[in-house]
Amino acid sequence: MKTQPGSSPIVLEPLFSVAHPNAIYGVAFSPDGELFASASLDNSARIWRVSDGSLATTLTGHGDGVAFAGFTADGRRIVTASLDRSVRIWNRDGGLVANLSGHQDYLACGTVSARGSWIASGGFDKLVRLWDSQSASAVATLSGSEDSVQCLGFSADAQWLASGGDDATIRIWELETRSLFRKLTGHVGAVEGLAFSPSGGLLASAGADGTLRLWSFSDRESVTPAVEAHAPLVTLDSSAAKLKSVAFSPDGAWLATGGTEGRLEIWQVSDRKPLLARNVHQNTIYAVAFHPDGRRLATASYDRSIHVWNIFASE
Amino acid sequence: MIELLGAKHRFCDGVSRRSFLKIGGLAAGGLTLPQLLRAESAGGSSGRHKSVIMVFLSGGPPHQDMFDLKMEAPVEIRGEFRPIATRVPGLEICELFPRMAAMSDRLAVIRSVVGSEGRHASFQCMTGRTFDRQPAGGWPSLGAVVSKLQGPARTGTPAFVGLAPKMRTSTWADPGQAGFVGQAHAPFTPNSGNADLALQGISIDKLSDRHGLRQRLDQLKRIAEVNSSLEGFDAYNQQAFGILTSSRVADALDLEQEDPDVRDRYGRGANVPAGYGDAGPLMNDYFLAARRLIEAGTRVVTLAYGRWDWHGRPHGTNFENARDHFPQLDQGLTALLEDLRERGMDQDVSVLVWGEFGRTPRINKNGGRDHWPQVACALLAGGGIRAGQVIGSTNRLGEHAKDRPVHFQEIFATVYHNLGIDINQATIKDWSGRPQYLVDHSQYQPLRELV
Repeated sequence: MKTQPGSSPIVLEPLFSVAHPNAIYGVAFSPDGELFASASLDNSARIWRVSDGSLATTLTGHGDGVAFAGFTADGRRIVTASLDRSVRIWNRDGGLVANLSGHQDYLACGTVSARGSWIASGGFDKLVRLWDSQSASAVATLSGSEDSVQCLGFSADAQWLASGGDDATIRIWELETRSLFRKLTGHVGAVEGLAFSPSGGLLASAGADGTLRLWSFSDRESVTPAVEAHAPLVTLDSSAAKLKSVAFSPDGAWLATGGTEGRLEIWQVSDRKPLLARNVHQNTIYAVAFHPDGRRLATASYDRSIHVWNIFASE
Repeated sequence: MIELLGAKHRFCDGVSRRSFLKIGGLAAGGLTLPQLLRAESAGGSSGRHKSVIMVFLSGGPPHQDMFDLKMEAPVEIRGEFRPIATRVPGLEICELFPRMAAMSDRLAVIRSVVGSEGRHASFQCMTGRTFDRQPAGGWPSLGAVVSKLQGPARTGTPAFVGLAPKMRTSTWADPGQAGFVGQAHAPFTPNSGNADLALQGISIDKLSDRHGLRQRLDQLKRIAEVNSSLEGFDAYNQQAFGILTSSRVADALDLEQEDPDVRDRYGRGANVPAGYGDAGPLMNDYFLAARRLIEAGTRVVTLAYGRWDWHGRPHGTNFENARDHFPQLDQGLTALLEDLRERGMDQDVSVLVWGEFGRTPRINKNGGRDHWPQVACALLAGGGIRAGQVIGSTNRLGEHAKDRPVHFQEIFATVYHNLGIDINQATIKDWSGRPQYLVDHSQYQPLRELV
């Protein structure tokens, strides 16, 4: 699957693959880059070593599929969100720290802030719930979504939370006030993936309509602090029929999107051009994640596998 | 159930462990050992006998995404897949079934299965009957009926084997019950994990000590009598002897004895519950085990394959699950059919693939399709049928049978015909003593297109 030099500005080399016995919904690297976590419909999350893809720990106890797994900002804990309606916090050795309940339906997504100790979860009860990973306690419930919440993303400075879902709307929540700051509309169909750029200037949304949209989001002063519809900077048509996931590279230069039929695309953010588009899985890519060093990429799929890739610009 | 520890084997789930034979309500009810031996003699020792492998697609497979794609339907109905041509002129099937397409001349596709009672259970696929208003003792499954009427094809092999493992949804794990034909004809269920009673400590190696075994069985019988937990114990007893003194079943289930290339051709599969975690595994080894059991003398093998109840997110869309299940079914089923042909068994072994109902034409908001008892699909192969044809059709949106509706019982009648059983003559008395025909033969006959 290596891209030949000259055929693409991006080289994608398979490093290794790991598998669950059922579909995989989430993948995330630890802040120190030594581990990655996977979330699966097999009711477990697993922690793997980046060095060789070996299994470090399996987190068991959820009563249904796990939709999300991620590391806290300090890297000491792992957070999972499950279809069993619970959010759990675990030690890196697999010990359960806390079981957070409150959602009234399947959880479809979760996210952990890169700063501070925020956790957010969302699901089929149309709610976003905020939790604190240090105190393992509920912080707030953000209501207003008109349908299931399918994706979440914190801004790098942990000032903002974006949520998206089946109502085709992106909601920007201000964490300080825990209030809705803005609604972004334009997707025709569910919003399936959200990611803020590391610098905070952009928000990327991936939709079931097969589009990747970039929204300007530099800072609070640059936008009208009102709840209103807002046109994206740009709408990019993916070569996937539907998109399911999106992630910025750590330097903000690239965007990776995952879609149906195992479609992976890498986009150059500066000129909004696709650098690579290829079917790398047998089924929908539910999650994409860049390693903190920016030179590795993980793709997690409904085909039960995670592929970890070397990724770099071709010469 | 009786569980007997045996020599170390690696079973079809790939787990190496002490082998065991679980003998539950075994199939040669009332037969004495000499009768069993006569049965074997009558059946010949070549392993040639009429038989059935039933693949139950637990949960209700989407007919319109498999064998009846509706490309003219609006997008909210049409689905994500494209049709591909097959070797049968005019027959197109899902693009994810390229191997089936390449051997479609060996298949009969039925697009218009009707009469589903809409129950989320294997019952109707196993019995051909609806669950409500059953006769005394309950409707027997196909395997139990065949066990009753034809007995084992070879000594030491149960006539009826159900390969379904234990599942959270027990109605999908049901491999077919004995009903009014009696527990002596219930399936041997090596994967069920439901051993109720165990003769711990008796190994196959020690079975030369038949006196000792008899004593243990007598002891077990006394326990059973106290508990009223076993009926037809004499038959049970005889079967225990028959199977324990034969290694055929254990050998058939021990896929380590099979050529690894053959296992690879079938696709092996994973021995974990598919989909939501409450249904059958996508265990392609079961297809191979079924063939080996038929060769060993079993007449009916049922297996539950995958989880086909695809309502959509958050458990994956209908199409994500289809992309997961279809290729594996395509591989396992076609490997089985090819294997049967290579071994000269294809004219004797009927293979039936179906589920309890179809799925809604309209794709729901979660990318799923819901239950649709109005119409379903089925696949038949082997057993001497005239394959290479499609039977029936549905309307433009796949909502209902447009022509040639085919009832569950017509498919059962066809399978019984393939087994050499005359549905217009054969009856079995229910518990009230009333003779019951195997199908409602005044209404349903074998499919004239196939037999």
